[in-house]
Amino acid sequence: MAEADRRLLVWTLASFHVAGLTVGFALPAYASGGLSDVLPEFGTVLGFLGYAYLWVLSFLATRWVLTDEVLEATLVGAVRPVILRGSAGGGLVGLATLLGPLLLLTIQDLLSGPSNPAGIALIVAIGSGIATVVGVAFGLVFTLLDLTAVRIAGLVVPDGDGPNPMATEAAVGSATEQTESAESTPDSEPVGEGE
Amino acid sequence: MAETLHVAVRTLHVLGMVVLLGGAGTVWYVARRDGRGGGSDTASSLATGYEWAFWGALGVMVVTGVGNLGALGAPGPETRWGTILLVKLALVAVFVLGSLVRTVAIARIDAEEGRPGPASVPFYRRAYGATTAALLVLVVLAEVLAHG
Repeated sequence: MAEADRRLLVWTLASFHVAGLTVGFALPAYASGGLSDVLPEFGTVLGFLGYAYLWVLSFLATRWVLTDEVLEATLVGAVRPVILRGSAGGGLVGLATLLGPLLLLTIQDLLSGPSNPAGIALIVAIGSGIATVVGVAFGLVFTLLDLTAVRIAGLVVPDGDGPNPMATEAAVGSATEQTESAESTPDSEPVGEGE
Repeated sequence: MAETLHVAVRTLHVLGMVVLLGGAGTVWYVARRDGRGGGSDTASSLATGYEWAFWGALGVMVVTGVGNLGALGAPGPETRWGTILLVKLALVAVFVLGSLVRTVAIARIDAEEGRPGPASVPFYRRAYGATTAALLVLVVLAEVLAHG
């Protein structure tokens, strides 16, 4: 897919993930009556900053997940590369969502010499594990939603507008090789791991 | 200070809807006009530009919408107001999912070699007509929430 279209997809998916997450939380939270109590305490500026921080994390993770190779493989039907990478990206977002604010809250204490370094290290270690697992779960859910949208879009886009670059022999060949490679070695590393 | 901030948030919310609804209506109108002339160039370039603006404006709408809820001290879900808000939030969720499909479809059309052909025009008409209609419903619900 052309670079311009890949950039549009990255922009779209990153924005969708944060907006979807926010609406997905707001709806049940309001229905249960909890949102009306929490929001006034949270504050407008803090809410805006939190949303912007999540959006930046989502953008960076989506750009990392959606390489040209992964995108082309996805468009010709391979799901494994994008699911592995999308879940890993979600884990990184979850980790950064915890560590960023935690660093801000503890920076003064850290600079002046932490009063309880073992306690802080324990909190960071346990919290990081939980945040990563939660992030992986959300990353998986959103990757599946993205894949569903790609499938539906493939059905609704009209045919007959000319050749599709994703269907050219080179693209299909490259993606098929990647798919076969990934599926024939179940224990292989996720695409892009170690970058 | 707090009052100024809340006015700014509400202004951003309204301006965000101007971008979403005005843009979708414009693409729908141009696609209808292009369809009669047999071309699709203008609708195609407008649609791509709109998708970039759409997701930026949607983020503004979501964050200012939640900010409004906090600032207004929204009544609980058991009230008539709360029920309407729940319906609106559910519609927003469906609308966001539908918009994702629309944008991915536009990206696929754009990725085709050469300029999009006339076969794309009916898709533009349907997609942006539906987007405009859904946004109008959301505007009506927002008016009911704001003014009863």
